[in-house]
Amino acid sequence: MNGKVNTGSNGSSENKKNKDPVHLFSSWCKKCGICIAICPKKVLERGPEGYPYAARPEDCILCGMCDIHCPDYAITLRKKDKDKDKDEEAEHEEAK
Amino acid sequence: MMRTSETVYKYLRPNKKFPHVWCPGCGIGIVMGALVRAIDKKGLSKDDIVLVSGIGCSGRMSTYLDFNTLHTTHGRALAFAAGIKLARPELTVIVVMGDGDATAIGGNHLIHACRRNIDITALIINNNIYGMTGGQYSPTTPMDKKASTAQYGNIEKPFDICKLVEACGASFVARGTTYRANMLDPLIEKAISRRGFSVVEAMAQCPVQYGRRNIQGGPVDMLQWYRDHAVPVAAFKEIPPGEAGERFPIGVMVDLDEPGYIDRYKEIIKKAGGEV
Repeated sequence: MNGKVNTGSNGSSENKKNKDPVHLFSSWCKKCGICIAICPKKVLERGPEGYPYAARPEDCILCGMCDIHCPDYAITLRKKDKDKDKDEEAEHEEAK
Repeated sequence: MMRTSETVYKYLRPNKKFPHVWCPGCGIGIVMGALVRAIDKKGLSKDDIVLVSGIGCSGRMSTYLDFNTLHTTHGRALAFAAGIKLARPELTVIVVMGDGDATAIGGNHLIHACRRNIDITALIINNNIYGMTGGQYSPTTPMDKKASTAQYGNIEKPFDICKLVEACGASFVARGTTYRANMLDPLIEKAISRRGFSVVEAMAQCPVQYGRRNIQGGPVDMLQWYRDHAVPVAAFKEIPPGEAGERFPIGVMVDLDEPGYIDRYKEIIKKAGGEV
């Protein structure tokens, strides 16, 4: 899909280093806040611009509630599998 | 690990404008995700599916999804879909309608599609209001709830879509909510696999037109309202009559799996000596 890039937490590339499981596509996000409220582990928080970001990524249990309830398909979850993580990073490098 | 949004991306038309037109927090996006996941899980090819929609917020779905799609006139989506199914019975026909589209403007088409039991899956997205046209009350707006045309509260009794279609003869009837989006996928999947006319009523929040007039707060508060008021069918039956209040049942209401119109029509062709 056009423009499908890893914008991470508020567009920074920090999440790669932190192994942030939550993957936000901010240009599709409408800041409705459903993902923040629905997360059972309270991983997400609203950033300064109103976009959600993973404030406590280590608590994420990859349940997929944010993903399935996002009306704008702006959130995906990262795979925990290491090899697949590498594949994904390669994908993003390609996309760049 | 499931990556549900990525499943949805596979079925979107990338040349259409995204983000979609639906308001922030609108439940239609969640229902569209559930529909796509159900189709993806069933493993149906994009070319074997016809998605027909009417007019209204939910009508935009046929623009965004990459199936054979038809965006029809207000309320007549079922009539168009019936024609498609009769001409090409091998295709899976799914109709997406809003509550006003299905029960007011297209009310007649809905009851007769149920009566004929024609092999179509109808996904009725019920947000209790006419969202796109400015928040007028619809046939499913509950009594005493406010709308732009009912500033002091609605004085009409609402339709219970599930009871309506059940009475008209639909062979599969189910209801889900956007709060339980996980449950919507299997309901839609079941509806697609059943013969005859299948209806899934998806209760979806309209935070802008309905929510701000009737529920304090935003989309999150509306989802919580669904969490508190949606009761599984079995548990709902235990509630003494008259004590349900605003609570409503969710789950599979009717599952007959009887032969539909197409099966019976093929029998008639055989009887008349024709080839099926």
